[in-house]
Amino acid sequence: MSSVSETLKITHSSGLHARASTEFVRLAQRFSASVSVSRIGGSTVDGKSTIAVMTLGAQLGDDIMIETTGPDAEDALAALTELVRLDFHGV
Amino acid sequence: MEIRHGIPVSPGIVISEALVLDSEELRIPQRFVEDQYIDSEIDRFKQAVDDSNKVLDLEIKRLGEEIEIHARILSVHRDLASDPVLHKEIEQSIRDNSFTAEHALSRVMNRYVRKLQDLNSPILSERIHDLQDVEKLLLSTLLGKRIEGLSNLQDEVVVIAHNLTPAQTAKLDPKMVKGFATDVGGKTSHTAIMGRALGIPAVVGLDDISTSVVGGDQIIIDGYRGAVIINPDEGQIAEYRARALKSEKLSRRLKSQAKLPAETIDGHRVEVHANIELPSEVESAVECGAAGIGLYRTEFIHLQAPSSGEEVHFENYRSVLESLGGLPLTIRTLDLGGDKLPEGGLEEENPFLGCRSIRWCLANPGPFRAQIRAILRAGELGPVRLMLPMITSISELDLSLQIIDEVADELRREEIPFDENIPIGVMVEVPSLALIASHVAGRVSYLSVGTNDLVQYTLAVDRGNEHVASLYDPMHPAVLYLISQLVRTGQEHGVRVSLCGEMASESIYLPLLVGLGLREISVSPQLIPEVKQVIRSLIDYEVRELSARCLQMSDGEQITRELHRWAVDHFPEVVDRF
Repeated sequence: MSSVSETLKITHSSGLHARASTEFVRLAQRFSASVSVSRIGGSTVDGKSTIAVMTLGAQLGDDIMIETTGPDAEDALAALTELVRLDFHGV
Repeated sequence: MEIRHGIPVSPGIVISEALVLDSEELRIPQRFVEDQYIDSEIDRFKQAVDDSNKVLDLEIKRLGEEIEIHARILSVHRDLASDPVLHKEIEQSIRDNSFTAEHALSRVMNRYVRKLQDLNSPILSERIHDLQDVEKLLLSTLLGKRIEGLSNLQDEVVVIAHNLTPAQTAKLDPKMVKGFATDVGGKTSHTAIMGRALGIPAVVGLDDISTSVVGGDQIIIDGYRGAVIINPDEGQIAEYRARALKSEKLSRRLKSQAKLPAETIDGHRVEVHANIELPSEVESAVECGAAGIGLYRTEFIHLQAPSSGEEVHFENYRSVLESLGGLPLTIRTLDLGGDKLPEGGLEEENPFLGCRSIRWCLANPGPFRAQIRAILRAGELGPVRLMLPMITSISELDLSLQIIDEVADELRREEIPFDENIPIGVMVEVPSLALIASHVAGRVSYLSVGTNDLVQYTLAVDRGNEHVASLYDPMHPAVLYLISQLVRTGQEHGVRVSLCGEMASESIYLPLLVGLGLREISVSPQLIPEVKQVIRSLIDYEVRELSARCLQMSDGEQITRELHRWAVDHFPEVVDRF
């Protein structure tokens, strides 16, 4: 099973909190690939769980790593990294 | 069978069935399932999630057309209710621990709530509410018809909870509730106050009683010793039944004599007053034979409505004075500590040595002045005394007295009637003040020893800290020395010395306190009949000799042993009760 990953910085002012995490998880759930999110220097959680992503505690300036595994891993990773780069569409 | 020890905050003994409160008003009837039902328990949980989601979907659809923001919140609830990680952990908790779905849900949700709280982010605090809402929704779906209305309980129960809130106790039927036991809390927590107001036993500070007890367990609450027994054996039930019966009989007899004065056999009168927090406690204080209110704690007024001004204070005082019917009322000004202040309070490393009590008042003159105005005005309606807590030096006292003078000037200018000659006293709670009492005596009308803090500050022991609580010894010779010196200073200067605090609530200490020359003490209303009875059994010259003997001793334990022996010889029935 192919697995791809990307490390990027959180530039959204309120971090990967609250609504941002909801957006992230909803997008992740559209893909069949499994998604994991790690906070560099912190823990790794299931990217399809709102509660897990929320309690990750990733804030503005933190580096996170997104890793996707499965048939549509590439598409999932591209969509999710874009969401983070676009600051979660400003939610 | 299991015995737990906590802090006794309301006396009495009760044997009854447990009602465990969890997650607000929802009652969780059972915590464990038998192993063969684990799979069906997990199915029950999945079904509840499906049912809840259907409810949410309907609501979202209905709201979506009108109120979009609410629909958005509910869609977040739906995400949380369907969260795969939550599901996995709850299922695992049911499987690994044989928990019921309700209990597993509560545990897992609580863990995430704490995690979110630890992140300390204001943005996430909203999410905590969301999570709790989802928990409530799933719980009520799970419980279905099993939710029992707290207000129409069929059987008598003792209520077990993590921490009782006013919202919860307001829903309870007081006729059916026979006792309280909680994980957290102290002598002044809501649980303690409610227990005393209802006259039922209560024990707090039991760590994890709410997760150790299963709804329906048989429970003994011993509000004298602070013990809680979970599923007692027959021998214990028989023992406690006998104790409860004896104690009840004694209480009835003592209460019938409560109105008699507390006078030693050789004619020395001791005034026994009541400590209260709520106007509703006055009635029972008077019934129990209180000579007045020796300590009216006013923090409650402030904490319930931090912006409550003069009028809220005044209304409370007026209501207390009305119920007192001419008996004296001692009002203590705000004694807020770093530990008691609500949000917006200071974060201090060492709140007990920090900006609390009178220090807080002097730093926040607004609420302090409003309260002083209310107290001075209340003086017009009845015999009111004003008491300043935690004074440590003359300059602090003088500054407080100056503020009172200024407030009085203000009232005079506004032509508002008030008591021009209100007696002003200080609480002696810090050794520094006890040691300079002769300088204080000339400035005030009375001195009142607050033993809880005096012991804590003399011995440098935080009683709430389990690692050092055993060092908290009210009979430490240093404490007794301070009290005896203070009484002597009062006598020399013709200034009344009273004592409020838990020391006077322990019957075995009473002979010593009377022997030291104290003629006014203040205790919880329910304890007054017993305290008066003990005093009536004393002979002044005997207890003077006893206290002189105790003051010679070098060790607190030795003193306690001596006093215990004395009590067993002189008033065995009261000692027996404990």
